[in-house]
Amino acid sequence: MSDPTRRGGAGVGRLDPNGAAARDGMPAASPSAAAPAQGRSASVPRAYPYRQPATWWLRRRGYFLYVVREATALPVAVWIVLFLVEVWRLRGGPSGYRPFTSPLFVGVSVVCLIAALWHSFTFLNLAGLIMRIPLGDRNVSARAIVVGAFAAFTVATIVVGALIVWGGV
Amino acid sequence: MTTKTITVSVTRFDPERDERPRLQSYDVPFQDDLVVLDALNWIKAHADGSVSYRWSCRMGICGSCGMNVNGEPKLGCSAFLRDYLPGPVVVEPLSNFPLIRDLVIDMSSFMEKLQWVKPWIIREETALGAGEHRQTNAQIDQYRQFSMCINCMLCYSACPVIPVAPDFVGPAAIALARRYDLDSRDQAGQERLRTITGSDAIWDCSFVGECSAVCPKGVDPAQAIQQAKFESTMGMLLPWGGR
Amino acid sequence: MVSKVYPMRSHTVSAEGGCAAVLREPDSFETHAFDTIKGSDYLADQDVVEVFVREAPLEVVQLEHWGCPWSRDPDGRISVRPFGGMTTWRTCFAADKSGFHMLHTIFQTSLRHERIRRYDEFFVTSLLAEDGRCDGVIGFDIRTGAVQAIAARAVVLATGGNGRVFAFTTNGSICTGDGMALAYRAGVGLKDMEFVQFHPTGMPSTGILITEAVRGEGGYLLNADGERFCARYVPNKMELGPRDIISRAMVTEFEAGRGFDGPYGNYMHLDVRHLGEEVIDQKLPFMRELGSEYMGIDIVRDPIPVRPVEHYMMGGVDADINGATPMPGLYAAGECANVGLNGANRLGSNSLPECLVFGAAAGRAAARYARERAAPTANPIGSLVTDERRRIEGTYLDRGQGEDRVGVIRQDLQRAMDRDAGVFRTGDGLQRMADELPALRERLARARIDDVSRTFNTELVQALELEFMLDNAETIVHSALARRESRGAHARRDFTERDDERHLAHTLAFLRPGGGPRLEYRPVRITNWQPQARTY
Repeated sequence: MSDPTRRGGAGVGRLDPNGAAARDGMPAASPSAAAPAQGRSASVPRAYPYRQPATWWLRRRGYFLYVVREATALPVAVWIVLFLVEVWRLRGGPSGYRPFTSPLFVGVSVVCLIAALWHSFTFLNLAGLIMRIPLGDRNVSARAIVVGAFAAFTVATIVVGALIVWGGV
Repeated sequence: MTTKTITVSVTRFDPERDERPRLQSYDVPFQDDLVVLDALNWIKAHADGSVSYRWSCRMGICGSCGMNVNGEPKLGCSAFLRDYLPGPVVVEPLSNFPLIRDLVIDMSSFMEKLQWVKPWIIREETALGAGEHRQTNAQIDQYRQFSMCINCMLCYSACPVIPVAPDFVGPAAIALARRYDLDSRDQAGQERLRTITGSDAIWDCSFVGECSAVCPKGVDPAQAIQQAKFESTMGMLLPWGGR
Repeated sequence: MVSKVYPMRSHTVSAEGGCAAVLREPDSFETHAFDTIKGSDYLADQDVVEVFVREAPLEVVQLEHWGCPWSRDPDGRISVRPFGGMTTWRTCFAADKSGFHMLHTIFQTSLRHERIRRYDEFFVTSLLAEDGRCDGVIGFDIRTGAVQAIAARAVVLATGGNGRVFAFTTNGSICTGDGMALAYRAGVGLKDMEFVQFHPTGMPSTGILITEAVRGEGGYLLNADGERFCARYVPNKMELGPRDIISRAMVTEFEAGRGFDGPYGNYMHLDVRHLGEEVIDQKLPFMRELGSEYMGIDIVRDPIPVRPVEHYMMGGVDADINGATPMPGLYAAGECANVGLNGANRLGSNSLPECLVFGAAAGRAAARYARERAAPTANPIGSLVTDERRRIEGTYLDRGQGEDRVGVIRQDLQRAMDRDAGVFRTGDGLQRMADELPALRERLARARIDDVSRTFNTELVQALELEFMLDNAETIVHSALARRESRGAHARRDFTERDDERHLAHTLAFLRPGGGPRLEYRPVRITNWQPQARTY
């Protein structure tokens, strides 16, 4: 299971002839080693650089969930574009109202909704970690902050939802 | 009677001889209470004296023996072989650092990053004769967890941002900056905060959270970073806000 | 600053219990001094102790000013806890990670001073000492193998202990007595090397330390019969007796058949269940972690298995109250030095303040000296570097394939030292050990070295460390053989009593080529406290 993506930098035996004399006050002959470089004992040996594999995000559960969380931004963006298209169609008045109704659109919307909910859920869950609210000598507990955040989210959703469904907006 | 053994594969790299790192396997006598570090020590003492790795305290406090065990950043002294039965146990150097030799990574950039965040008390000096500054245990609790960092760099190994942005000052350094910013005795104000709210610092973090997942000391550097982001933002938005 | 490891890895990081200082009424300098002197079994130089107890509180406050998170009382002042051999509560602490917090505080504070130049992972192989004066050090950069001299007007040795000379020790791998061996080889005497402290409560398998603070907070030591056996040995102090007496008590109980039996030998129980979860989580959280991690127990519910483990070296480089060794330009502080503070036995929580007080004293004295002398001339240094490089490469990197291995020879040394130079010693055992040492040196000279790379060659480092360890062992064993009494941590079955007439003196061991060390004696300096019988 060695990492196949660790790659060599410049080849073996990169020399630093000027460094040799300064380091140990002596010509840089090295008796026993079979390897190529002279002056090698005095120059700083090459460190093998690290290269992140392209599949890094599949290697740990934490990485994968992170990428999924970040990727939810895409469906949300897609849905906003579709919404803006509908808004643009209304530029001449209510007669332009031609909502998307195809099953494809419904499917896309469902995906976007799930993505948006996951986006909100993961974000709100972390609210307790992000916010530090001093309360006297201690801080408001993380749990309290998360519960508060979810409560605010729920209220806001209900209010906006009610406006959309019954507000004639 | 045959002794139970377990196969341990170790990354080997000698820049004087090797083009690239490779794995070398050894069969190590197994015992229930042995850790990966014990296996490495056995290999070095009995099988192959040329295996190189850092270690010292063997009790999880000095931070020397960070390494990847089966792909996970761990302290070699607290990774028990029994958790990897039947084996093989693959021991590789920490990710995201240049490799000097075998399991020894180049940590000079880490040392620079630690120094960058000014990890010392900044305040007007008071005479020793005046005694200690008063501080309560509750005040210590504000920064206690961030003071537990043993500089093992497992968090740097776990952070996927670092290979992409190598100058990112990183989780441990930012947690250490927070440790001092939250210490009631410190009076740095903006001086230290600037080092972590500027470039190559908190805004390079995209909150993957793996740093905190691998931290062996419960420091939770992700929390330090996100709180710094929040407070820095509030400080900008609210005229009276924060520090 | 030159270190063979990055500074935050130094073994001070593992210190747990605390740092003693006179911080509160009704404590007094006299009491702290007397506790220390009695604890030392009257071998401490009393003038040194008197200075130490006065400086310690200032150093504690200095560290606090630098940010050390000392645990606090409700009023915000630094807390103190009871500790072994201390008649008053005077040990301040940062939870049970005092050394960790102290080391990180000092290291981080040092980062502020850009004029401090660090040589990290630089292994010193020899002191530069021409004409009996110290001119710096020679060593190599572990990363590149490049041999280099660092010329200096003054050198302070702060290399810690030599616990790895023993098999069962709390010490980390780096504690190989390098500084002591460097001074020894340069002709400076090593003082009181026979006094090795065995801490009563180490984990039976790994040797990891269970801090004395566990007993300070009220823990009980119980034998297999469930008795608090300390009553038999130190009835007035019980579990808070001094470490040498408690360790001997445990071994005596083992030999009487009252110890538990385990795969790693006999052990006793250290019980804190009666303290309750809250106290344990507040005062001993690290112990709970260690118990769970390394022994699979929860100290809130289970007793802790413990047995005596090598922990600290009272002996060290001969240094005075300012850390100055007899060699001009060479200073020493901390565990690697012997300034006369701890005598034959060190009290718990005196070692951290020792580092602070005498580290500062040595630093100041060295700086004064450096300011007044001329820089060492470059001329001889170049050829010294060449010679040293040839020596290292010739001795280690150009070998044929022997059979013996460095790790095996080291293990043999360690086990033999455990056997013959442990809690109880005999003349025969020590002599046997003294005879084995030249054979171990021979083996090392012929041992195979697999690693011929110059890049981060840790086998080379281990071989050089083993050489240093053999020097340390030699001084320990010969000093112990010559001291025909029992005093403090040095306990002989063949000479069980303390003999102030013949042995109220410090042992000084000097390198003598081709044989064991040459031994000299120096009287103990007594100011106020005449030696008495040492009972608790």
